[in-house]
Amino acid sequence: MKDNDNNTIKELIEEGKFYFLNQKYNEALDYLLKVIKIDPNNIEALYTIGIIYESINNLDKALEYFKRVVKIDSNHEEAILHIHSITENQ
Amino acid sequence: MERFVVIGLGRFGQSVAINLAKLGKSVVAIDKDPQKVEEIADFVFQAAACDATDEKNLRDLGLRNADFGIVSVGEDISSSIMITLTLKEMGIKKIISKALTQLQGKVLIKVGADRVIYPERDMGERLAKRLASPQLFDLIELTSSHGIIELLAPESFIGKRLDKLDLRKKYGVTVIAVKRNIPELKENGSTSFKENMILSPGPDFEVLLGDIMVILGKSDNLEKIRKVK
Repeated sequence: MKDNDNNTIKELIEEGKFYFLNQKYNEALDYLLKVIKIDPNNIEALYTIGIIYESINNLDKALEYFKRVVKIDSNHEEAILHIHSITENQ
Repeated sequence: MERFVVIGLGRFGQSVAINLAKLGKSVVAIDKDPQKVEEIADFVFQAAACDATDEKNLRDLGLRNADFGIVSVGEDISSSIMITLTLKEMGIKKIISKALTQLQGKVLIKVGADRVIYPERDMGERLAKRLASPQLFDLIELTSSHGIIELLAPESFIGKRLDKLDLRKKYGVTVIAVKRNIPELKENGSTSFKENMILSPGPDFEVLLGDIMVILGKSDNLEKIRKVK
């Protein structure tokens, strides 16, 4: 990946988080999904997308993204905790 | 403080005992199996390994003044009946017994259970309802004709105020609360959210994506609103 890509990814993630914090969930997802297009294994973006889906109670989608995080990093404790808490309540 | 005695420490009994203790209640937990008793000992006020079908054992534990007795001895229905009967004779104020079938439930009521619960049947029913309508998060039946549902806000409600939606007029239901997750940033920069409950939201309350609406109404009206897209 080029330096330019890295900068773009950083900015897109920041934008995504900004919109999430302002409860603009669809906009937040747009930015973060752009990250995944450039770098499909970007853990920060995948995890944040999981959090967004969970916060809007789209639990199937949340699970899908948390599982993608764990597939890349099997020690990602936070993602594992979220998978556990979602599946326990389903 | 209310005193609880939980007899039978399988997964169900153990969960009841630990959760009551977490809620600050005084819990005595009993099972025949010393290993199960040991596992729970740190969580509850008192844990004892003994045969609860023997009244003397229960009296020795000073359970006569307990307020609630929870009988969850699993599949051994004869023990369940004996223990329920014994607790009744000891004057325990309220006895809740676990049953697997309706026939067992009837017998337990006859020997003194104030309430019979069917955890497996209830879980099955709950799971089926949840799988049949994923947007329905929970359902409480208040009477045979009225209930409360937790409904994920339908798409057509999002961005609209409650007075504009006018659910009382259109569907004959009342929104009594809304559960909304509030986004936040953790110290390490990662995203998170915390649960928030808005009680009796006013007419100017705006429904947002992901809101869980807690709605009270007649069962048939709740069924109608559940189908709204």
